[in-house]
Amino acid sequence: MNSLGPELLGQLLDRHVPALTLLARGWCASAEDVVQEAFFQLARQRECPHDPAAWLYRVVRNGAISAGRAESRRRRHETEAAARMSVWFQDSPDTAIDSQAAAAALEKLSSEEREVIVAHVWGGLSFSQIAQIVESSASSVHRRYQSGLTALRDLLGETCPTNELKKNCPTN
Amino acid sequence: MSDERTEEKLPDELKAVETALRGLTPATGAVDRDRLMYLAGRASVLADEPSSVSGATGGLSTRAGRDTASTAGRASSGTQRLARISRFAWPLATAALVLLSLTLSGRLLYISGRSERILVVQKASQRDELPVATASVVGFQSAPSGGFSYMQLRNAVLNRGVDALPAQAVSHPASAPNTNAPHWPSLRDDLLGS
Repeated sequence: MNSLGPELLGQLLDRHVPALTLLARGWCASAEDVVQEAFFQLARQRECPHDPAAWLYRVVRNGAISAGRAESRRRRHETEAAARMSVWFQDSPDTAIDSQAAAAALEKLSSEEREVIVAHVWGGLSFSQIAQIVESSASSVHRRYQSGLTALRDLLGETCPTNELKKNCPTN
Repeated sequence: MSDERTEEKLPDELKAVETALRGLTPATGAVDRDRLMYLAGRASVLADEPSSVSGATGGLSTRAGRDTASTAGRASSGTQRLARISRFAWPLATAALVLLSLTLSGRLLYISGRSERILVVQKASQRDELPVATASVVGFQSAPSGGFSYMQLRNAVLNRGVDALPAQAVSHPASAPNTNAPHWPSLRDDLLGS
C-alpha cells in the first residue's frame, strides 16, 4: 500500500463520507459511486496528498459535476429530486431543523453556495481550504457562505422547519 | 485563524442557522464502509492497472453488492512489474526518437558546413614542350599549318637555343611524316650560306 495507511484511510472514511456524499448529491444522483471512486483514487496515489480531506472534496466535486453533466437532468431531475431529498440527512427528532425541509432548502440554493455550506458545516473545512478547492478567494467563499446561510434562513423561515412546530403545522 | 475571524463576523441569526444545520447528520447512503476499505486496499495494490480497477469500480453500486473488483485483484507480481515497465515505454520511445532526430540534424548541418570544392585540373598545355617525334616541324618562312606547333617550336628555340631542336628531326628527315616541310638545319645552312 502507498504512504496513505489504512488507519488514515479509515479515519477519512468515517469523518468525511457523509459530507462528501451530501456534497455530491448537489450535482448528481450517483453520489455514492462518485465518493467511492474518489477514495479509490486516493488509495492509488503514490504519495499521500498534503491535505487528504481537501483533496477528497476537490475530487468528489469534480467527479459529481462530471457525473451530473452526463446524466440527463431534464428527464430525471424531477423524479430523482424527491428521492434524493429523502436521503440527504438522517432523520432525528432531536434536531432543531426538519431534515427534509433542510434538504429541500439546500436543494434550492445555488451550487456555489451549497458546496461551501456543505464543506464548511459538515465537512469541517476552512474557508481557505474551500477557496483552493473551488479556485476562488477566501473572501469570496465567505461571501457565498453568508449569502447561502441567509437564503437558508429565509427558506427555512417560510416553512415549519422545527420539529417542535411540526405537530402544529400542516404537512405537505 | 482567519476563518475564526470571519466566523465572528457572522450575524447572530446566521450563527443560529449554522448551529441548527450542524445538528443535522448527513446520511451515508448505501456506502458500505468495510467494503469501501477493502476495495480501496485492492485499488492501492493495483495502482498500475487503473483501467481494470476503474472498469471494475466505475459502475459499482453498493446497493447491488457486486464485487467486480475481485476479478481484477488477481494480478500477479510479474504482471505488475510488466505494467510498471510499460508505463515508461512511450516516454522512452519518444526520448529515443528525439535523440535520433537531433543526431541526424547535427550530422546534416556538419556535412553541409563542409563544402566540397571540386577542382578541375586541366592537363598542362604542352606549349613549352617539344613533341619528341617532331612530326609537326614546320618551315621557318612558311606559315605553319597548325599555329600551336609553331609556337611550341619557337618557344623552345627562344628558351634553349637552336640546340633544343631534336636531333631526330634533323638526322632523320625521312622519318618526319611531313616530308614536304623544310628542316631547320638545312634552312639555316641555306640562309647562312654555309
